[in-house]
Amino acid sequence: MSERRTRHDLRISFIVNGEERRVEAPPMKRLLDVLREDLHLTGTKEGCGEGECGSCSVRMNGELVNSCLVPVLQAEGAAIETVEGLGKAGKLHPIQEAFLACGGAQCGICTPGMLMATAQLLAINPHPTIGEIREGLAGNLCRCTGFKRIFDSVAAAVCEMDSRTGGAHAG
Amino acid sequence: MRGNAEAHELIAPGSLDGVLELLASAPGEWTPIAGGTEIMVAYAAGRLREKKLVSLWGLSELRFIECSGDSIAIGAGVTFRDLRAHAGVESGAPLLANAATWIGSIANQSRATIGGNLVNGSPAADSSPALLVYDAEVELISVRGRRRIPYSSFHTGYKRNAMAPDELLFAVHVPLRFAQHKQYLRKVGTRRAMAISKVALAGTALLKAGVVSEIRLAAASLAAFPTRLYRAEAALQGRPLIAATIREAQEKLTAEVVPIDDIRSTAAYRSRVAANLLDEFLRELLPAEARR
Amino acid sequence: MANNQMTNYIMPTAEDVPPIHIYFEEIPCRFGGCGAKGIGELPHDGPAPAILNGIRDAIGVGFNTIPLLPEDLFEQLSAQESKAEAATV
Repeated sequence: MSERRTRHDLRISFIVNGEERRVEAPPMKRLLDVLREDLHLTGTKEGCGEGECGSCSVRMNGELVNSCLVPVLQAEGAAIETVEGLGKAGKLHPIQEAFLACGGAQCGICTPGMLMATAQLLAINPHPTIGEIREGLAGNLCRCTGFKRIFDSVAAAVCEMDSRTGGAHAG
Repeated sequence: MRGNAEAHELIAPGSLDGVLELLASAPGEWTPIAGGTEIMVAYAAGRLREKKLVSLWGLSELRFIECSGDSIAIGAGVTFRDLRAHAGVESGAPLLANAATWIGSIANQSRATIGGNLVNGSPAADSSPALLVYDAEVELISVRGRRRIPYSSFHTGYKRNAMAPDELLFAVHVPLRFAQHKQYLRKVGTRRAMAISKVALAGTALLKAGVVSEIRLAAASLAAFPTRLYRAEAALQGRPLIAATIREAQEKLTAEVVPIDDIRSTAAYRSRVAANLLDEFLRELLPAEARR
Repeated sequence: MANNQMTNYIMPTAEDVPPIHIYFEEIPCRFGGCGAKGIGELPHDGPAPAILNGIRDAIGVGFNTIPLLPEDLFEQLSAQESKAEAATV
């Protein structure tokens, strides 16, 4: 990273869902806003702006982060995965299919964050216990479902991903 | 969202030396931001007074965990995810590894740093009680060099600390001499996850033939900053551990803490729960037949 | 606004919510198509009184307002403790 001394627009580049993207934005602009406004990737939602609800969760360099708390300068050069990148070429990711099959979404505002948190959880722990599922999703608040069907969706995703890879899947 | 991106400067010198030179050139003007899990919240709420920010994110010089024979050195840029995943921290400083799992959510843990936790200086800081009962030291750095002070001397008041305006927190050093100690850590929050503590208690203790030969107690959310409970310790140090001693220690604890009523809890509740936590810790150290 | 920050608006997280078992007591409504009747948000009303009743059953202290916090229980139980102590003096 080279030294910059301006509060105004900088050119920042990073990789989003496998593609190199470049934006011009003030370094303090939140990654959440850059994704939604500059890159028109509106799957990532703002629920609180405080890092408390997880609606804005994305994966950055293989870790789950709340994009509302990341100034875009700190995302320079990073590999970002958003919910738009979960599926491939019109085909849903098994996690998305599981949420559909199990009714894991009601109003849907928490859903992109839940999907990303699930993707993160299963990437590091392909066979989580219910306690580990609860912990993995504890940063994603849902006011509608009471979480039950979300837990069911994650469990179903685990089964599905296991059956596709013979038990050896990784995110 | 009340933050105005254009109202702040945010720069990334890209090296620790670059940051230190900046801090030295204009002491007190630039505010370091690591994972941003505190600063960005204030920013979005429109209450970030600091207009000049210097980013520490990505500085490898600050993100290290080194286990030597007698201590663990933890760089200030280490995230809580790094901490809880590290086998050396888990075995040598288990209370700290445990505390790391309390910080917010998985998403917060991958960005929140131990340096940020200490420098932010909340009375409720999650890593503090463990560090206090482990006799941790903090290492501060500037262009003028480095110095170490006991972590117990780091906080000097509510959100005030012992750092000079050109200094940065460089590392936390945790002595590895607690393997034989009984260890305790518990946080009581408003819910099981994503909770700022109402009260948290940490303890390390060594007993020899039923007598307390070493005791450290520390708490969060009972004073203006996380603190050792010196009077409760004094009531236990060198004394045989029996029910009466525990009660006395509880009374000393209640007398020395200064909890407040706030949005999360009440002073009376905090006081009583802290005394209960102390009892929970110490009772486990009694021989089985002596436990009530 | 009383709850103006998610930090302080303490709703249950995935780690807090207990296992929820759902049973339907089916009594067909003669005015509804195929016996259907709207549920809407009525199920919201039952749990809080049920929990308060459970607390009264468990510790003999009754409450009739929510939110009910550990601090409220502590205050009531402490008051009872003091009353009991005063009575034995």
